Amino acid sequence: MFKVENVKAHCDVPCGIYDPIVAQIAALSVVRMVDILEDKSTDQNKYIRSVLTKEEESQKVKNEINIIWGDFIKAPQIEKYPNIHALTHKIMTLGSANKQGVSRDKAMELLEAVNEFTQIFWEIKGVETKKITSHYLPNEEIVVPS
Amino acid sequence: MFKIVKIEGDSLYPFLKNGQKAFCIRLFYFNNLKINDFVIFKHKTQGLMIKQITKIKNDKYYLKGTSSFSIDSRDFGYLDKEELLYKVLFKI
Repeated sequence: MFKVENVKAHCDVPCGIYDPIVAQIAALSVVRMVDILEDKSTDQNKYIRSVLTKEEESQKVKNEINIIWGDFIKAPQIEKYPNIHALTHKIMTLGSANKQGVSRDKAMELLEAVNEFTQIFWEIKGVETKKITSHYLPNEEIVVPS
Repeated sequence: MFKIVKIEGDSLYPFLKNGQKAFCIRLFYFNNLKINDFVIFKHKTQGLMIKQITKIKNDKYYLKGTSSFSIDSRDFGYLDKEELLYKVLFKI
């Protein structure tokens, strides 16, 4: 009797380009920098460069996740994933912890939290994911679309 | 005269959710519109859109979504009454 027509109630200018891969690569970089810093054979110049890079990459993780959380995640997704705020906050504090110190455990915690966030992000998008081992050092696992 | 529409997007959450349907009536100049009504109009690039009336000034209508990222009168300004095509009567 009635033809149903779609009407748009869109948010955002429709570029829609969000991808946590930048945060994942930054988190992998933090792990790699920690490995270099814990290597006794690292010379002074490389040590300082690695500290600086660890600082920058930790901040990059925080910035990238913050953008996806603040701009892409909206009320319906918060309803479906009520832990998203706590997870984002965890990433923020782990990002800071990795700037403050040199700890492989903390770096891996950051990577795992970013992977968990990535899993949720792709679930929201309706995209299936898989875990792969990065093809470069530190050869740790990341979640990517399958 | 009447139309059923399906909502695409979350800019009117929690009032109208993505995928939800609504029963609407065609608007004519003599129809009364008030603040908080959900209305359908044609956007020049987006096609048919649905938003909520939040301000009425000199028979011009300011439409907004509930989300701060919504594409609405903050982008395209007030709309004339004749640009508003349908009004939501109830959700299905």
